[in-house]
Amino acid sequence: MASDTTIDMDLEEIKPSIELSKFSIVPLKGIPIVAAVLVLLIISIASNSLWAIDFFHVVAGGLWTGIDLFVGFVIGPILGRLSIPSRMEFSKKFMPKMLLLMPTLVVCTLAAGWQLARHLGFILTSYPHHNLIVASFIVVGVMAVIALGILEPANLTVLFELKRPEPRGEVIGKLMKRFIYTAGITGAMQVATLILMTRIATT
Amino acid sequence: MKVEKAPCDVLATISLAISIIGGIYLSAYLPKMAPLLPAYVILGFSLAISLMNIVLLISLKDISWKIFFQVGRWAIVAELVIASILEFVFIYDGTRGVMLIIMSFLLFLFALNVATILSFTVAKYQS
Repeated sequence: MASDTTIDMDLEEIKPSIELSKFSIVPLKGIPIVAAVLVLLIISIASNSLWAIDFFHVVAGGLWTGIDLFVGFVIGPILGRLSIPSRMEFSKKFMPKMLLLMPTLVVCTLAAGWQLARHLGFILTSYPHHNLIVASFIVVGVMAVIALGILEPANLTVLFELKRPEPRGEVIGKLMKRFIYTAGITGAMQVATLILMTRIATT
Repeated sequence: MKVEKAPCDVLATISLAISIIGGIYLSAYLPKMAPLLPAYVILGFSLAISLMNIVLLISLKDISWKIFFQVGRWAIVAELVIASILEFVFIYDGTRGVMLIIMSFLLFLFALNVATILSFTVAKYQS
């Protein structure tokens, strides 16, 4: 009887960590959606449809900026105040989606944005505000280095850590700090993007 | 060198940043031809750092290669898809000749470095 109770108690303790490790690092159901979006992006570029290109650039760019700012300045601080198990539970549901969503939004924004600039003559060096276009390239470049060199590897490593039977809190904590350190730079770059894009659209 | 001390992720990030600088430099001139010497220098730096990084990676003994390749093979596929879409955009817009070749190398280095950063970081913490 006593040993049964002990086993039950042990199982209760192990159960959350086993449940925690049951998730897919890349949400496979999302891959066909991503593929469909990318095919539509290529069709819109190849067909020279200005509306479709503008749609892709505005929707993907707006979502990229909005999600970056919302995650960095709303979700991030809330997450920082949650208990460790709650953070892990949130991360295992949230991060896999970000792993598919953000690169898709970025490639749609950049590819459609470049085409839009070409159609409107903004990429020409003779365009009077070409400096604003080059500034937007630099801003995107800074964000790309932060996202791909610092945040995405941390995101992926946290997901692998959460897959372990017993995730190490110190590793997750160390990697999650990267999000806090870079939130300010990413936020500043996104605000700069908003200023540059609205200036380009109205001058 | 021990895997936790190896700066493979840092080197790949530096090479990635240089390849992005190269991409920005060439894009700022398109559809005109950019002066090519700075582009060659940028490409050379990025390539040299990437090659140095590969040598360093191969010399690591305590890294979990299983996890490195598990992440790496999917990461390189994903990044090559992204790089291919950007390559398509440049070709579609009429970029040709040396500019296209340099741009293609820079995009390849971009994909390679991102895949290296992702796979090395995961493997480092799981090794």
